[in-house]
Amino acid sequence: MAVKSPMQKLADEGKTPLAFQPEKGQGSSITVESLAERYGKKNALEIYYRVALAGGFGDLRNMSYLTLPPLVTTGLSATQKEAVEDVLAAADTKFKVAEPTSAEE
Amino acid sequence: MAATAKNFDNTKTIWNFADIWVNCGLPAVGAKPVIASDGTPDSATSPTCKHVGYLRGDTKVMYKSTKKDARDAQHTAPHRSRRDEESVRVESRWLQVLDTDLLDILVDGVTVSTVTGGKLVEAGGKRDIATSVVYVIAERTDAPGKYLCAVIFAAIFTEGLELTFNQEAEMDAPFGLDGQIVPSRADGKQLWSWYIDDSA
Repeated sequence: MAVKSPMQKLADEGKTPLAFQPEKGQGSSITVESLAERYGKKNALEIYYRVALAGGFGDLRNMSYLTLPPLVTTGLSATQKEAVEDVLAAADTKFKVAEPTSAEE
Repeated sequence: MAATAKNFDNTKTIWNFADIWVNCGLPAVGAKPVIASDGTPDSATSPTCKHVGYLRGDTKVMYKSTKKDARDAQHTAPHRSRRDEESVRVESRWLQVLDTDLLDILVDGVTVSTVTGGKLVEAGGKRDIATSVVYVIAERTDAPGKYLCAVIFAAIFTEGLELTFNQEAEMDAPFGLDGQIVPSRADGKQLWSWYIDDSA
């Protein structure tokens, strides 16, 4: 059975990408860890840096890996939000999403 | 000639303590930090943040800007000035010196590990300095429930650890967080921000 990406699943359910869904609190953020869950640890860092640049957070490549901050996606301008969505959509296309289904079954 | 109104306004003054939070979420250029209604960082946008806990004395957020002047022989004052250096620094004194999570974050250079029966703090030989997004949050004096929040985009922990054992008073330790620039953010928005909740 073909494994659907999280983005496709969300799209099927008519939802926006995870990064922009207000969750427990008032806002939403993207972390290296959340990216690693979706795209695997190997790809997470590259996607994180791309999101940071696209979203207007800055080039964070000189920051210590262990303390890379969550990127606050609440309050992004329409342009920034669109740029981040593009990066995440491209990531879904480029990287095989690390889903527990294939590894555990 | 008509008079001009003076600008006395006690809703524009601050008289309160502040809380310091480290490892918070980084707002994008032009975006504000997300603060919950109780004045703490929003848990979804700052999922890994840590409260520094009890503080003593002043909590300072110090933004400094210095200029260089171009002078000439013919005049007594500069004919051109340009900004030369900027810095931002947060400093205070913290009390919870036995909190090893805080030690790990605030005292750069140490490594904290768990050993049988407790925690071990070791130091010496670490060259990398970690950065952190720091929020300094204070409630507005004139409008309870509204908050001021200074955000240091990339703070580095430059202080060592000064433990003063004393019979007279509870121990506190000074600490400082110096801002580094995130150069790829837009000019004028690379070092820190100050959000003032002015919502209706």
